[in-house]
Amino acid sequence: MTMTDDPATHMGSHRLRREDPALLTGEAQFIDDMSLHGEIWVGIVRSTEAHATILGVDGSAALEIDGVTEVLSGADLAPLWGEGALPCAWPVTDDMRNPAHLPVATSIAKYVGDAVAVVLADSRYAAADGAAAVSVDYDPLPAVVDIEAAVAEGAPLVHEDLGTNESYTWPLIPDPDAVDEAFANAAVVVGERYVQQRLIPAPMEPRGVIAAPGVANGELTLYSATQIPHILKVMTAVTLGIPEHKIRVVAPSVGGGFGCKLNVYAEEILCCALAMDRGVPVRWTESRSEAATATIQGRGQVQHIELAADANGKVQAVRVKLLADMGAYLQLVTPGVPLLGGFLYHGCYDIAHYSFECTSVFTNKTPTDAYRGAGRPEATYAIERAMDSLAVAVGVTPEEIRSRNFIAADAFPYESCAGLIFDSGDYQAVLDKAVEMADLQSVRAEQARRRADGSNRQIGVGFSSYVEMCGLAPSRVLASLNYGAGGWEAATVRVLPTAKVQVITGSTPHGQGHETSWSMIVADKLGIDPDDIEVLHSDTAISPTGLDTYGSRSLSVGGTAVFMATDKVLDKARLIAAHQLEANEDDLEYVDGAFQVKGTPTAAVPFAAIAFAAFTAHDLPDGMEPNLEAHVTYDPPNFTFPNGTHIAVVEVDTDTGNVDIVDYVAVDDCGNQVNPMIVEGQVHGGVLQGAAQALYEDAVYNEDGQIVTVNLGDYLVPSAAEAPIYRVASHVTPSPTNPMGVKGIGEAGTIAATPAVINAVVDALRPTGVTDVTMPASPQTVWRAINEAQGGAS
Amino acid sequence: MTPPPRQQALTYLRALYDPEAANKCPQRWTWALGRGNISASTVHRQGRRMESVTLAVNGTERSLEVEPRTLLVHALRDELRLTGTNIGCDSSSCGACTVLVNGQSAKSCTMFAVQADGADITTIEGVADADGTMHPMQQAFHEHHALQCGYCTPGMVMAAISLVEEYPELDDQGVRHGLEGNLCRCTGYQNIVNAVLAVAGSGSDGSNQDRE
Repeated sequence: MTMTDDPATHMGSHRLRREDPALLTGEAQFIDDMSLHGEIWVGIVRSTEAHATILGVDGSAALEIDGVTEVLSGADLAPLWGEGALPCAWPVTDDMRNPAHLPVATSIAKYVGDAVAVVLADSRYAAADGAAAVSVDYDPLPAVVDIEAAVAEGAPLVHEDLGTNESYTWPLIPDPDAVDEAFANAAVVVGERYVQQRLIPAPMEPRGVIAAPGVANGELTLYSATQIPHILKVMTAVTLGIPEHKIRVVAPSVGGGFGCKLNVYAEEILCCALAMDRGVPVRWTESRSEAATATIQGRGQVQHIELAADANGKVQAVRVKLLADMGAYLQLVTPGVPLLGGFLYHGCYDIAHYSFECTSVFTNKTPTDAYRGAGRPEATYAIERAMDSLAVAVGVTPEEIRSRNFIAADAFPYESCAGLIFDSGDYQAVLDKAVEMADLQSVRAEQARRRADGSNRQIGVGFSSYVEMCGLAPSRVLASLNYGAGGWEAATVRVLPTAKVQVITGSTPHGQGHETSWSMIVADKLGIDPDDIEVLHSDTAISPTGLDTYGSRSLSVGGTAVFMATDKVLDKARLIAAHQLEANEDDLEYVDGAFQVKGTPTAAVPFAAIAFAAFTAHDLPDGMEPNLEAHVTYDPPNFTFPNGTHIAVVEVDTDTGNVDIVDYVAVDDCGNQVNPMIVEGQVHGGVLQGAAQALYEDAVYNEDGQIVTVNLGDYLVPSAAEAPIYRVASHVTPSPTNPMGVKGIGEAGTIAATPAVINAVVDALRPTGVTDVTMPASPQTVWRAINEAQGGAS
Repeated sequence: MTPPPRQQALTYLRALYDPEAANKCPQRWTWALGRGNISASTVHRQGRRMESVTLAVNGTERSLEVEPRTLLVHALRDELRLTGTNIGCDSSSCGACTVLVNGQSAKSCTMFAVQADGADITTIEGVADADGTMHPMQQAFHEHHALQCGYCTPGMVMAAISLVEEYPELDDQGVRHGLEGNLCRCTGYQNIVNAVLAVAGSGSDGSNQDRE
């Protein structure tokens, strides 16, 4: 599915990525590949206790190690940041409790992995040896691990001074009476409880920081494996009191983020503060085991969802109560994550009445924050699981219950019961396409055969129809949510004298292929070769304005800014061409990279001539500034609403509990596509991440708050051997919100896949009496569910 | 079929400490195990005991001094500044640091630099032609969109080169199990598998024939 059928255009084509050669040959420079003269290494001593008073830090053994120069406790470091604490940019309610979060704890460690002391050393190995040799004297305090226990009467407190473990309660209940009435009058009520386990984001590149001071002028350059150099610059200035214009932040090649590099971390502030204090570059590289607790985790919710439906299964109201795990502190957008799902618990269904309430609680664990999908996978999981339960209650198929409730294709723009305006979609057409691709009839026939045979290899079919809000975000809407920044994005298109073009984007890629896609957009509009366009990003000295990459926003916000800046360049070029042709600008058309009087190709001014004319400025229209360059800051008027239906077919070994995904069909509507190859890649990877939550991944804590899944041997990021084969297709309804009609695809797969896979597992197990399976549906979990359903011991 | 790479790594590590296990080790490991003894050229610098190691890296002999406990991957990255080989974990689980040691793929975090003394090492920097033409496997990864963030890519490419050389006739499952020791968080693996199959099946033809 392409934007245009014209083979001459780049948009809509499978153009190979220009990012690849540097990454394929080892030339690309990631943070740990860098080395600065005179740098010192930081090793971090992390709490081994979930909750404990720090009685003392003894660095004497560490200081005997060659290369270790200093051991600093939290108290030693406190003067470096003074009053400054790590920022939370999303105080979702006025009364939200937000405990001060110091980069290094001074008196009480609040979670395993909390930084409690710092070692400075002359090498990577000495820093690690030194950190291991520091002895910390702890006086353990009772730890709060489970979120339901955290809100129980008499629970120990994570932050004694707050007097409660609750951070905030956020309701979204437009008409409470109508919801009550709908439930009172419902023919069918479905009520479910689901647990969203915590996930470790695990981009393949761990985090890393190098802070380099410019001693003479009080400047600071911060290199960080981050998704958000622009936001990080503002936050570093605010936190440490360094004048913002003295700070430059650079994100080198970044090896994946998935939300966990959308943050302002202790190590970033620590390295900056030390670099400014000592006048030398200070660096830290995260180890994978360190990342298990030092980097934010995702999900972590207990969800209660109820549906009120009539006898035909048409849903009248949805009621959701959420308990969300914040962890020990609020990181950059921790409190806002559950709310990003809070508008979407009615899914892609036309439901009249809505009630959502989220209570967020502190626990003695690593903070949670945005992880691919951020709130929306959780919402989609709850509604899609509940819709399957409703289908069973009403006695119809999963596809039928969805069809009976879908927002109709002619209802757009559609005002949802949660107060959003959905842009466009044809949810039924998307589902029909998925059903056809999955060859559902044959699969169900095979399922019936195995059920009849009592086979120990049962087949299950799982649906997931989703809609998400992307293109974060209209700044005014963010204001209504108390978010501490806007949602715009900036772009500059600069035409050089020789007609080569620089595109400067405020979006910060870390694997998404912005350079390729942005060059395709500009090339098509200017009628030039994409290889004549350079896309610059990720360095605040080059791209000073931006709000970076998260929430599937890059194309629909950042790409739109590029699109509009290119239009602005063309507007000026048109004036120059009209001047040269002595024609009225309205009589000109731009064809094949040249302006001509409409229908008169003989008198044409090529783009290159205009570029040079703008540079020499010898003969420009009166009053026109020289040079050809345009800057646009685009604030989207609305979110975009990607949607789709995914179907998973699984085979469950009822003897062992093992689950194999034997077929996976994804039909997504992300609006128009600039590069379908990149879209498919996003779907593939997203689906596996979602399926991994369903089947493999779980950040396991024991009752003392010790994390058990510390490395990639224990935390099961799937390999190629576990991955299914994805069959991917599109259905396009262009978004009317932006000029390219695009919606976003970065999170769709992750949002859709988790409920599709679990619904399939539950469907497969239906003959055994199982109605729910907790995540991850490991062989042990599935085997126990079967055994319990059949009255056996677990 | 040889055991999957994770198990190979474990076998190798056990063999380092257990002569009996070493006897059962595949032939391909004996060079490394035989060189496990610290050589005579020990020096001390700033109180640290250093060993001289000579490696033939990407066809060029390189001599360096390392601590005995320096991992091969750190020697390559920090001493020789060959930073194309990445580090993604600390438990030999992810495969990002895969290089060729005497022609066989190995996770360069699973061995000490001193154990590689005298070995031929090929890193991602050494697989393209001198004129910059990419190796067929690199080209296939490019043409099949088999990378996104690119962090696992050097290790994945090295493992894939070794896999295809060892098993020229691979099918989908063979590639998936052969690359089990290399994790990727971005691609969902399908395009990686297609890229490797394109090289295994038809030399360097990497045209995109896998789409709907």
